[in-house]
Amino acid sequence: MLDFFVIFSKGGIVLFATVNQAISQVVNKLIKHVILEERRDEFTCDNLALKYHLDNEFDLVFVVGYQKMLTLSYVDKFLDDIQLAFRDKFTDYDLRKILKSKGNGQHLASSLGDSVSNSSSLSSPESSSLLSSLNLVDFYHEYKIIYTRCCKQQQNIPQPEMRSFQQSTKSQKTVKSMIIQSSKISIPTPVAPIVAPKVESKPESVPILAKLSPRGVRPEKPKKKEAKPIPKGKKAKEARQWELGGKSSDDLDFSKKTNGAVENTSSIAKNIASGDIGATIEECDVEPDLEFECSDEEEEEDDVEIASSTNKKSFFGSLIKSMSINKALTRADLDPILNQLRDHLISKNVAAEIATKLCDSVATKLEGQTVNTWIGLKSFVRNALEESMLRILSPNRNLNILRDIRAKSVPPYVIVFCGVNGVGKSTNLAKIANWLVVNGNKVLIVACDTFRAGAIEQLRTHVTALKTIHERDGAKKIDLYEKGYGKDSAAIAMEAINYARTSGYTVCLVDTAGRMQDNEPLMKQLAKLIKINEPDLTLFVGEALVGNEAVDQLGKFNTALLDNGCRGVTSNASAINGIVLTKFDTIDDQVGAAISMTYITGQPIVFVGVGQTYKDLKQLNAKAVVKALMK
Amino acid sequence: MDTYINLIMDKLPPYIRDDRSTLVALGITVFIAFLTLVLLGFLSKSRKGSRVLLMGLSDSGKTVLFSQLVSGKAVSTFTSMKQNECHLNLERRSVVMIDIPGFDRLRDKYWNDLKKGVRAIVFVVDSYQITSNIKDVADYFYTILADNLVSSQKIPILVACNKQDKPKSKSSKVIRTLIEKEINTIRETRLAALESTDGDSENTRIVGSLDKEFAFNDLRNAIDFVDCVALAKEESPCEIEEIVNWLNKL
Repeated sequence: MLDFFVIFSKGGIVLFATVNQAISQVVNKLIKHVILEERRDEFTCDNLALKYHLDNEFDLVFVVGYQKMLTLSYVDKFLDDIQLAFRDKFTDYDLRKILKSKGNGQHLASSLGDSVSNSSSLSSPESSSLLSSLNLVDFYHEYKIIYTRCCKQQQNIPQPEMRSFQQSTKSQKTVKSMIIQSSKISIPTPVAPIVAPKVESKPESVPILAKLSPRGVRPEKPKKKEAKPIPKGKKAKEARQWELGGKSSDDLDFSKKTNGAVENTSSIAKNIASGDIGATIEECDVEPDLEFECSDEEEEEDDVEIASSTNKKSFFGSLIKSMSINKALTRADLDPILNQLRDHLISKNVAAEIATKLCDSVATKLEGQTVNTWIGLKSFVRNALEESMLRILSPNRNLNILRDIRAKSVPPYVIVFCGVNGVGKSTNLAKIANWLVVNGNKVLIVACDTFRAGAIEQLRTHVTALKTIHERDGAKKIDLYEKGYGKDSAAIAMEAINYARTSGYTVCLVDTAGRMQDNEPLMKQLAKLIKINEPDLTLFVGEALVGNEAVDQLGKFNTALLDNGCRGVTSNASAINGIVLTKFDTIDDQVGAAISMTYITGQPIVFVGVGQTYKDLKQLNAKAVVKALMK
Repeated sequence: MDTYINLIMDKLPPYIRDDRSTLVALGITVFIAFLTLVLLGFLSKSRKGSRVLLMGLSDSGKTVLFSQLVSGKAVSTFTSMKQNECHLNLERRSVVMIDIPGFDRLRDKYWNDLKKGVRAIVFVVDSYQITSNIKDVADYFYTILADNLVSSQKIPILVACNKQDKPKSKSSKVIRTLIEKEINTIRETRLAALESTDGDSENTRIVGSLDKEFAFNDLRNAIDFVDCVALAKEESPCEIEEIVNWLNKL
């Protein structure tokens, strides 16, 4: 049911692929828009859904693609199993060796060990030879095994049937017992049927997990699961015994502590064991839940332990700890540090949601990597986070507006400014107009804010000021196009662009009315303006003061535009294709909004407003922003 | 400092502490060891770089060329997220080939990280799509040319016009003039670009003089253009001899 499966190195070289058709476009999109933009969500493209898994120690990426209408529950497990199988097979994986080895994958496989060559000889000759000619490594056999196993599991998952009333536990109870039960135990009955299949499926997975345990990937889990079948064997029925009840009065005598404690625990174990099988109805209802609660508590305790061990107060303790870590990183190692960093980011005004997502994605990037002992874990994680943020802030395309204006075959080059009220759309529009005029463009400012009183007058003031600055020599360089208040802004913009085309303006700057992101009719109006006029650049103006609100604002603007039929010029996912960050001078080092905004849209910050005069317009320096964030 | 020395002295066994000559010998040994380390550090730094960087836009064929040069194998590839590195023995010396990711968000970071110790640059161009992405190609190329390190050390650059097997792909001569022309406009627009928020002047470096048209011949770097086909297919074999020859001349 999987459409394709590929393994490739982070350097981009494909090691193994199950198909040879063109999937590169889809996978490239996945890399560019999901993996490299630190998003962890699933990726869908046309009718394909893609899931990926990173192996950070070997620098590998595993990607599966399937029809998005299918809900495949086994994909995650499949990716995990594949990764482990790959690690088992190529224990001393080195891409350079694979590249330099003569011939194709099978030679390599045979050179890696007897067991491996055995397994490759087992695989059907025609299919493996066909594929190995395409692939650098021979992995077809393992892939097939895991794939079929996963498929079987998918089929074997029993559909929970509705029970008739006669089958239900309720029917077997007298009214009286029900009253007592419900007063004593508040656990709902339907838990049992959900639990049962899980327990049954476990023994099947034990051999796989047991195989892994020597590699030390997940040392804890197998133990837990292996422990289960043993008590299961004790099927002999025993009289129900309450833990603290004891068999005789001796047990109740807690003065003999040592004996009592042992017996108590053993009796608990028995109870749990019998509960697993579900001997009686009451037990079935109660015990599994008790057990799960226990395990939950254990996990919590584990967490607490980890947290306390990493938060050691003494300097030397932490020093020794930081130097002694030389194993592959686990999530537990990373979490305390990432939590700290996340709080730090939030204190720098990064939206909380974004900070969490960023830290999560950094965690997936780091899991499995080995740390250089001398740098220390903390700074290692910090560096990774810095790198990620720098990548997000770097523009995803070549940004040279002046060049684009010149290259436009049919002028004018149209820029639309949108945003919520009072963020500085008109002011920064005037600054940008100034910059464009200085660089030899003829600019037409279009007043499409036909709503707010005084909006046109504000623009007129700017234009008069700019005229006095730039038009001393008499040449026309800047002008205002307005049609008064209360008109349809889309129509005004269209007329203005036509006017600009005929009278030789090179750039049109369209000022729109400020609107809140929740205002449906106004958002539709904006979408109409953009859809009809197809601007070359749609800039979202946002203030740097914004915190958590940024997510909502930008997200809703973008979706509203997309829902109403707008598409970016570059036909990528975003209707907004640039951001103007205003009031940047007022925030000192609280520069989090820059990260929030670029993360949400994936679009670059084109201009930064840093003051009141026409000259106070700058470009964003990603490095400086990251530095300020991590300070 | 004195306390530390005293501490060490206390730890030493008495027969060494008392014997002056042993102590002096010990001191000399430590000193020599330190000197060796420093010298080694200097040597490794002063050796001229041995990196050959493969650069270019995303999807221009860098990783395929990398694999062809290093192993002679044709591989299928996706967008790189990390650099590929490998040793390569040339006729005169051995170099480290590094394939730098071409994706916009990544390339600046990797370029800044890896440009130290660069010996030569191979700039890969997709000759088939050159007309549509000439702006980006020239912009990236200009960024490299304008880099301080490249101009001061006169790093030689080879522009490999890849994908010559496709019909309608431009030849290296055409690409040369295209890029020259484009760089002219880029120079002007770069000069007019806005200052960045912390006011460094990295962007405003100008290559060549603005008075006359930009030409590669005016540069102090040696810049060569060659045609090549990195991805071998049945009907069109891989043609990278010219690149190998150029590398061998290093």
